[in-house]
Amino acid sequence: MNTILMSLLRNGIMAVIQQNRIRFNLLDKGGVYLDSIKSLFDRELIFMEDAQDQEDIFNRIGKILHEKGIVNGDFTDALIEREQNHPTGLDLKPVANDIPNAAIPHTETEYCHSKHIVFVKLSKPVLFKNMIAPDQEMEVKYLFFIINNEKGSQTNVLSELMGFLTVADNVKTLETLESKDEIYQFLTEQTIKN
Amino acid sequence: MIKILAACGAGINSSHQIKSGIEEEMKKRGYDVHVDAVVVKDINEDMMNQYDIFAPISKMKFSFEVKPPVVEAGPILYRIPAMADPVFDELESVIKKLDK
Repeated sequence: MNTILMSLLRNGIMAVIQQNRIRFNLLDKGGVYLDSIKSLFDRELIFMEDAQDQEDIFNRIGKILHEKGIVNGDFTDALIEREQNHPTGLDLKPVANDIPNAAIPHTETEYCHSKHIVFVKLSKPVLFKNMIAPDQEMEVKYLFFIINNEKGSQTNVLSELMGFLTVADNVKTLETLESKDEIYQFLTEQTIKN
Repeated sequence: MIKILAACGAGINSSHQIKSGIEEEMKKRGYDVHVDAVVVKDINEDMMNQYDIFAPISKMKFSFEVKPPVVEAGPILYRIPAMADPVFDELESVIKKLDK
């Protein structure tokens, strides 16, 4: 009985601390944080890959996600097709000249079984087309696959990721991290600049 | 009231980000705008013709002639003034030309 009470009390205190931390962060820096989408990252869904090109990395990640039951068997084809019609490369030159670019590959909800952000750090960049100017091609090193199975939800994922990626120091930190554990910790536990 | 149609590909609601960005900034600048956010494949000619301005995430092709003035609104998604402000400035100049 005592243990249950203690655990309830502890959880309550933790929740209050967590809430205050978020409130403090928002008040302090006036920004939006990865806090609200942290839970979408998973230690098993952080990858460091050496891929030949965009289709290669889409095939690899799609296969793993399908094996894990996160997406269905048509996901990879849908992802490749959608990327051709509506590219997702994010040119980060407007943020800083010396950071690599990112992309946010995603497809329709019907191919996904759950909600996740799958992170991939590529050892060498692959080509993506620019989301806001599809006739421009650029080299991309960081991928944030957005997996979403519910229409209309997740409206904040894009803005949170944008908030994160438009702070050059965040991308520079990713550049220095050499293990999946470090990356996972950085994306989910640290207070991230914004 | 200026009616604006924002559009993106399906998946992560970029058009809703564009919608809220435009509504917030144009209100600040003193304009009465209403923005609807849609997925590009749901747009037809009749729908397009009901709007004063078309604000897609990027350049888009349609099987019909797009009559409203087009302002590419993708840079708003960066949420940084260096990217977003030129789009808002262009929107403002288009709104002025509409003379509504």
